[in-house]
Amino acid sequence: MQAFWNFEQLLGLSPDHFTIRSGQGNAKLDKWQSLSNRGHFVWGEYKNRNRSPYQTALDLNHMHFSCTCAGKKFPCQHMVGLNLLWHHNADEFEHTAVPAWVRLNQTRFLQYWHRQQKLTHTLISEDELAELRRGLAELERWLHDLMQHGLASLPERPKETWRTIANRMADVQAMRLSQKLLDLSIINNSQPNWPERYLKRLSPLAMLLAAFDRFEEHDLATQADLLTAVGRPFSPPLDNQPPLHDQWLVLGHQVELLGQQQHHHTWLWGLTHRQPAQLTQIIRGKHPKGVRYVTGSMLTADLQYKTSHTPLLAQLGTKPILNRAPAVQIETHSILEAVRHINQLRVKNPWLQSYPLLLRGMRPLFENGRWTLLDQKQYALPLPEKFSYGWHLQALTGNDALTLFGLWSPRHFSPLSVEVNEKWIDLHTFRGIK
Amino acid sequence: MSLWHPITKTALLGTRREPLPKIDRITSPLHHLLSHTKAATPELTLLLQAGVLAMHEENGRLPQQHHAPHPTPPQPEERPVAPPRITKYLADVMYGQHIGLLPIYLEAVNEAGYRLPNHYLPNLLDKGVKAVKIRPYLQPILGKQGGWLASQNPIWDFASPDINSWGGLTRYWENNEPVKRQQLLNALRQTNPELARQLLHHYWRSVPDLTRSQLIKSLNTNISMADEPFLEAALDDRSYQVRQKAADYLAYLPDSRFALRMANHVRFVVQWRQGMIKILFPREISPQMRRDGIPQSDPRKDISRLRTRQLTQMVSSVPLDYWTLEWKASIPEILQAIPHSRWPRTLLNAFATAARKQRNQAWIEAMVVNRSFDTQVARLLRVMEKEWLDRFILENQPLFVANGTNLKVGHPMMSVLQNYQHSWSEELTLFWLEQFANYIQGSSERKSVDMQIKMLLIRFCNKLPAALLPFVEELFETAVQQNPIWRTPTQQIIKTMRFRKAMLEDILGNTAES
Repeated sequence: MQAFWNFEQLLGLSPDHFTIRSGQGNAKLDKWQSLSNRGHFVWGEYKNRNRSPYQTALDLNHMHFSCTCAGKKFPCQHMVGLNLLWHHNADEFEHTAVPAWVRLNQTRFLQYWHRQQKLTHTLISEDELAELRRGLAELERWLHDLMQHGLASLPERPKETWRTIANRMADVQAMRLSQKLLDLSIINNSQPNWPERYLKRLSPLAMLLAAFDRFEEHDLATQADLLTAVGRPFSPPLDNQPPLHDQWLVLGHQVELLGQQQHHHTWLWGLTHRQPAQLTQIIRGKHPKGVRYVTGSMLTADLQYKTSHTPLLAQLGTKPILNRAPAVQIETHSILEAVRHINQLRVKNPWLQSYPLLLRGMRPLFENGRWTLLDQKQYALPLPEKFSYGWHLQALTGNDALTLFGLWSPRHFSPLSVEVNEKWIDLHTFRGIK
Repeated sequence: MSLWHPITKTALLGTRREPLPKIDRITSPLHHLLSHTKAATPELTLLLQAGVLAMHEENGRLPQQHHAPHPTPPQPEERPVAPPRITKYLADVMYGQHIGLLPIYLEAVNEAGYRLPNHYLPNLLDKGVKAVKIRPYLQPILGKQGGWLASQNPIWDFASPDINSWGGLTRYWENNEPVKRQQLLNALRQTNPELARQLLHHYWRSVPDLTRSQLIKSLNTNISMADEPFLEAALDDRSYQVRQKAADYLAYLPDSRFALRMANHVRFVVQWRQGMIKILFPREISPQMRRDGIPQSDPRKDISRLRTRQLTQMVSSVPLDYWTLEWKASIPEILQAIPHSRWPRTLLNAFATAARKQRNQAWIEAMVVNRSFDTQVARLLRVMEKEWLDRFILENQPLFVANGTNLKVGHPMMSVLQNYQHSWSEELTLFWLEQFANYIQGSSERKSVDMQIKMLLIRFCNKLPAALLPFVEELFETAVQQNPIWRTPTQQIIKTMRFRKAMLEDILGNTAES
C-alpha cells in the first residue's frame, strides 16, 4: 500500500513543518521499542524514556491513525515517523498477531464511522437556536453602541473590549464570529485608513445579524449557510441529490482552529463530475486519532453533499477504496473564469468566505514585496501577504507553468498543494522561507 | 468621491454627532440599493450600507491583467537530478541530527555529478546565506535552475551565474552593503584570486578607510606574488589599519620587496654573536621603517610593549632563510639560543609567525619538536601538507602514545589531532584509534567524560574512512566494557559514522570512502 506514495507525499501527512522535522527524527529504528504489522495494520511502541511507551497505530486500509502521546497535533510526530519507517523499512517490522489495543482502536473507529452515517433532519434544536440568538442580539447591541459613539473612540478603548465580545460569541458557539472579532483587535490604529478597515470587517457582521433576524423564513440551505458563516458547529442534513460516485482526488488539507476544536478539512476533487468536496473531521483534546488521506491519493467512493446553496461539505457514503491517483489532465479554470464562477456562487451564498480552486498554467511573480499568480492570459491573482512558499513555486516553474490547488478568499488565493511530476505535493512539506 | 468617504465619516464620528450620509438614489444601481438599505436604527443602517458597499467591491471585482515580462527561462540542465536514495538524507543534514555533515553531503552529490531537485533549491540557497562555507559546494549542484532562481532574489546573489562575469560582479558590488562585498571577495579569492584582486583594486579608492581596512583582509586567502604590487602600494594608504594589514600580508611573501627591506632593517637590530642572539633596538625609526609597519618610538607609551611590537614586526617579516644564511647557524642552534636572549617569548612568537606565514617546513618541524608539541607552536601544523605531516607523525610516533592519565591539554597527541586539517591515512587512523581505546580503558577511575577528549574523538571520527566502521565498533565495544561512562558518547559517534557511511554509499556507490 505504501508504494502509492512517494516520500514527499508522506511528509505531507504532517500538519506543519515542525511535525515534518520531528516526524523525520522519529523515523529511526532505534527510537522504537517494537515495530509490528499484520495485514493493513501497522503499529509500534515509541520509547518514552523511563515511562511507558507511546502506542502508535496505523490502519492503512482506512488511513486511520491513533497515538497515546500527549500531543495536540494530528497526525502527531509519532504517526508521521511510523508512516515513514513503514515506507522505508517495512522489512524491519515483525509480523505478529494484532494486539488488543490496536483492535480496540479499530472498533472505536468503526463505531465512530457508523455514528457519522446516521442522518440528521434538523439543523439545530430550538433551544440551541434561542441561545445563539441571545448571543447574537448582544453583538447587535454592541455594534449599535459602537456606531453611536463612533469608531474614533476605538483607539482609547482597551484591546480587552474585543476579547470580551469575542468570548461572548464563543460562549454561544458562534466560533467564526468570535475569531473575526479577535482578528479585529490586531488592526493597527496608526495606519491612515484604519476606520475604513474596521468598517469593512464590521459591516459584514451586521449583515449576517440582519439575515439571522429572519432565520426561520429562510430555506434549509440558507439556514445551513448562515450557521456555517457564524461558525456554530452543527451537522447539516444531506441534500436531496443522490450520492455522487466518483474517483475523488485528495488535493490538500487545512486545519481550522475554532475554540478548542481543530477542524481538519480534506479537500477532494471529483475526476468525473469535476467538482470539489470538503470532508471535515473534528479532533479534540489529547491522544490524537483520526483519518488522514495522503495528498495525491485517490478515493473511489460515493459522496453525499450536505445542504447548502454552494454544496461543498460532504460525507463519505461508502467506505472509500484507496488507489494511486491516475495521471490525468484535470480540467481547470483560468483565473478570470474561476473568479467569475466564485462571484456567481456568492450571489447564491453571500457568506461564502473561501472556495477551493484548481488552477493550471500558473506562474508566480514577485513584485513590490508580494507574490502574485499569473495565468497564460496574464490575469493576476494575489497570494497572501506573508506567503512562505513563493520561491519554492518559482523554483518549480522555469520553463513549465504550474498546476496548483488552493483556497480562494476575497482578499487572496492560498495555495495548498502543487503538482510536481504528476504527483500532488502539500506545500508545507517545502518548509517555507519568507 | 468614493462612497466610502461619507459612510466612514459618519462611522468615525458616531451617529450621535453626524447624521447618516445622504445618498443620491439616481446616480447608479448601487446608489439606489444603498439608499433603500434600512434597519431598525440609524446605527445598524449605517453598518448595513457599509456591508452592501464592501460586498459590492468584493463581488464586483474581476482580476486585472498584468503586463510585466516574465524572467527569461533558465538554460537546459546539464546534470541529472539526484534520485530519492540521495535526497532522503537532505532533511537530516540540513535540519536534523547530522547537520555537521552538510558540506560532506554536498561535496559527495557534486562528485557524483547530480543536481538537487528544484523544490529543494530555496532551502539550500537560504542555507547558503548564513553558512558561507558551503557556498563553493552549492553552486554546481543547484543546476541551471538554481542559478536562474538565485539571480531573481538579491539575497541569493552569491549563487547567481551573473556573479561570474565582471558586469555581474560590479552590479553585485554596487547593490550590496559592505558585509556582502566582503563575503563576495572572500568567496571569489577561493576560486579566482586574480579577479577578486582586480575587483578590490577597481573600487579601492571609492570606499571609506574603515571599509578598506576590512576589504583588504580578503587577500589573506590564496595570497601570492601577484598580489605584491597591490599590497606594496597599500603601504602608502592614508589609513593606519590598511597600512598595518598590508605589511602583515606582505610578510607572507618572502620574495617581496618588503621582505628584502625588512632583512635590511633587521640586520643591525637582531644579531648573532657567539651563539647568542643580541637585540639592539634602533634609536630612531626611519621613515622607510615606519612605512614598513615598524611602530615609531613614543615616550608617552609603554616602552617594553613598543619594543615587543617592533621586534615582532621585524622578525616575523624577514624570510626565514635569511637567519641561517646570514648567521651561518642551523635552525636548532637558533632555537636553542632563543630562551637565552633578552626577549625569549617575543622572539619565539615572531619566528613561529614567520614559519606559519612562509609555510617553512624545516622551521615548523624544528619548532614543534623543540617545544614538545605545546599548543602555541602546534598550530603551525595547520598550514602543513598531508604527506609531510604524516611522515612527521610516524617518525615521532613514541611521543604520541596515550594512556588513561597522560592524555590532556598539551599532550602531543591532542596538539596534533586538534591541528590536523586533512583526512587520515589508514595506518595513522589505526594508531590514533588504538590510543583513544587505551585512554578509554585506562581512565575508568574518572567519574565523567572529559569533554575536550570527547569533542576531539567526534572530530576525529568524522574524518575516518567509512570502511573502518566495523573495526571502530569492535574497538569501542571492548573499550567501554571497562569504562561504561564512554558508552553513550561512543554510541553517538558510531551512529554518525553509520549514517555517513550509508549516505556516501548511496551517493557515490559501495566504494564510497570519505
